[in-house]
Amino acid sequence: MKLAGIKQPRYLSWRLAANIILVAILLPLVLVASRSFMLDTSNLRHITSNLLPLYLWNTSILVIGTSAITLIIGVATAWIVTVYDFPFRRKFEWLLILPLSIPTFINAIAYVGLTDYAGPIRIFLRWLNVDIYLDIMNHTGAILVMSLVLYPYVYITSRSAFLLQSASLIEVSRSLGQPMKKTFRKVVLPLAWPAIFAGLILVIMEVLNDYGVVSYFGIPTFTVGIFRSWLALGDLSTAVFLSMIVLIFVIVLLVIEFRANQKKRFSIDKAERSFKRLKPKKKWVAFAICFFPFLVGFIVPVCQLMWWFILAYSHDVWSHLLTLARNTALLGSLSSIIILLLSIVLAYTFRLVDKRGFKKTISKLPMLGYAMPGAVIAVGIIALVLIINPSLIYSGISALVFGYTVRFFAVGYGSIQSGFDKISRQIDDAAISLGSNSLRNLIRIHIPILKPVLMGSLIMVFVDVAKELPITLILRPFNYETLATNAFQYAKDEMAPRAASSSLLIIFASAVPVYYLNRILHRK
Amino acid sequence: MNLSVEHINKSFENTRVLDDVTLDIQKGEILSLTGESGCGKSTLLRIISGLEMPDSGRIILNDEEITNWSPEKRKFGFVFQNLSLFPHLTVRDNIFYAIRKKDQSNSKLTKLTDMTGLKGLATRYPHELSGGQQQRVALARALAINPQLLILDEPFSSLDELLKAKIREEIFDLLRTLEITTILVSHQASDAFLIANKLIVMRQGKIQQVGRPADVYQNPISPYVSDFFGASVILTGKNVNDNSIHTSFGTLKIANDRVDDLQLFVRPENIKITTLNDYNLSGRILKKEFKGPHDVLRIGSENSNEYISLETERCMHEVGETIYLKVPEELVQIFK
Repeated sequence: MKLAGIKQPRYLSWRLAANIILVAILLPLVLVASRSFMLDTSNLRHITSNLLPLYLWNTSILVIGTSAITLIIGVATAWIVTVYDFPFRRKFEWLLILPLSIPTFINAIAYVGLTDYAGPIRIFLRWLNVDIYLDIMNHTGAILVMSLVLYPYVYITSRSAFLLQSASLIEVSRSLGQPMKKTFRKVVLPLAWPAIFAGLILVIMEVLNDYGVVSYFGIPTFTVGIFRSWLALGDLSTAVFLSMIVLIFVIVLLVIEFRANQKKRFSIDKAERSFKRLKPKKKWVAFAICFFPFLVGFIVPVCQLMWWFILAYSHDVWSHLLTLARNTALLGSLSSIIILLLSIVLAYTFRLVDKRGFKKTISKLPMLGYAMPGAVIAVGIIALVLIINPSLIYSGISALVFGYTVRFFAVGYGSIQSGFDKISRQIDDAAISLGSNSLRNLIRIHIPILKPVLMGSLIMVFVDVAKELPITLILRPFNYETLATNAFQYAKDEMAPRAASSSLLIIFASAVPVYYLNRILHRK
Repeated sequence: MNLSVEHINKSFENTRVLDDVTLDIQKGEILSLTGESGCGKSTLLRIISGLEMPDSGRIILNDEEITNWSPEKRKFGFVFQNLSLFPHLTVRDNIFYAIRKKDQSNSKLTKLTDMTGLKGLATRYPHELSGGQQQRVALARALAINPQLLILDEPFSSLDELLKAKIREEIFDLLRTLEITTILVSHQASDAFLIANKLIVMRQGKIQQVGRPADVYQNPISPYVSDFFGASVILTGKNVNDNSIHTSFGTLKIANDRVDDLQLFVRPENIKITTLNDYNLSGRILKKEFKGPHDVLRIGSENSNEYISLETERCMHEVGETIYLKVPEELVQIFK
């Protein structure tokens, strides 16, 4: 029976579950935002007049510097790999993504080791009877160290944009008498800009998120400020205040990106013949331009770590390494499974209830977590824990797993959602018309079809968790170490060689999804 | 301006796409390149414009070999099949794309937009234009560089039938007025008939026939060419003696060499239905189809399984009747 005007919504339990998930994921961020309305103002003057300009200055320099370098490396290599034919071109397509498997702080550790007194460069210079003091623990060093492993974000997005661009636009430009350089500047670049910008935003977010490099190099940024105020001073109010500023900056970035994408209304109409690769006269120059980022962004740091690994081999790191790997694996699998299950429920609900207008916006909201720096999310979770139990010293790993879930939800959810979108809705209709209900459909139809996607998202989340540093450092139980925190701690304690085994393990695990990422790119 | 293409060969992997292609085009000439899809005409265009390199052969422009010139050096205006307007540029910027800043005068723009019927659209973006307008922008952009040679690759294929007729006429009028040397690629015979001074028919990478459109239409050298330019009636025949050929519909008095198994080609509009006193072929109506302005008859031979399809004006005869046909023997083409 139906009451007048009131219709029982369909799929009530799905909707309920989805709403609970949405609230849970967004709660830490909402808490940071709401907490900022009840700030303790006693410290605020000191912060705004003394610390804020410093944080702002340092963060801005790092953001601008890494943006510029990643933009140049990423776009240049993507363009060369797409348009020219040169030795090992096909290999470079994915080798250029590999540096992404090295977390920024591990790259920093490797490069500090490389350039310090006992490192190979100084040894070589002394052998030549010149000794130059190489200090990379400054702004320039931080920018370089981060850019070398973050440029693949720009590379990936620009490359897929170049691949999708119509070859005939380039050809028409050339037939009108414009050389390749001008064609690139006037046609290719403007058209690919929204995609390039999306990659750049990922780089900026990684820089904002970074704690490892800046704290190791002693560059106080916003993230460092949030850490200090909470971990050292126990001052949640300041932490929230600083988080709020970062939050606003990130939201501004997201709005800019959204607008840039909206302007992209001139979409390419048809699937086009791909570009016929040109044979450049100086093919070894093209080779060198592509080889250099791979060399300094992957081979060099990995070699340095391997050298350390051999040095530290005799020390007893093995039993310890096993514990670290076990802890990391536990956190990684717990978080990735939780994210997987929640993503399936959420994505499936949005499939059942047509997502239009407002609901479409809501369905994108859980992505926000990925845009927020880990430290901000951690502060939000602390605020939440303090509400639930003010006297609690959060010693379990549940807060940590919750933090990972919020931060990396987008990684799993994004791919699962687009996987769902690729399944024809007629399949659902057919199943329902045969008398099957929504849960049975999910288990019997969607999950089996999505299996590769689900596996992929499990791996990607796992690796992101393994690489994560700021959330782990803030929310981990006392004395609880993961591969990442261990590597970081050894580096801070000037025992970098002992960080090598943990670092290599992280890099090795991360290289797997990098390969996977390349295959996704190719399927496009 | 005089462009010669000499002995061009081109293969992709193991497929021969162009096989010893030679042609030339004189100043002011409008050359139409036709043939079924996949016959190599687009590849030939891409080689002429420099977007593709031939495996062998030469391209000569005004006595200078340009085979290895890059497309940007050749500056042949190329209008692509999909138009390829720059989506991020306005009509004005599309047209002036390759023009130096100081030469981008308003008078030049007005001249080009007026000429191509784009008055008042200079500030629009391509996605704000209709298909026909986009077509004109693509042409204006190519004309803006004063090309020595204009290349149009299936320029009307993206337009619907109604629009196509109108735009085609306008563009062809313009090309004739400008006396611009043009190569037009089309798989539609009607395009070629409307404008070309010279027609080239290609098949499987080879040039089949070169000639004035009317000649190629009336005297095709092969069934492929004849079919390509419209309906044709093809009879098989045996020659009885030096001046008559026997078909299963009757005997035609045509002088010929003694060869067995001939194919006789004639355009259906040349065949007249007549009466008993003046005919050379006859057959029985097997089927009569109403096709609006005309009827299509399937006429079967009285003494074999062979039949021909004939498009006629409204036909008074009914299925089953025997009809008599008059074929003007001087218009019959013989393929061996």
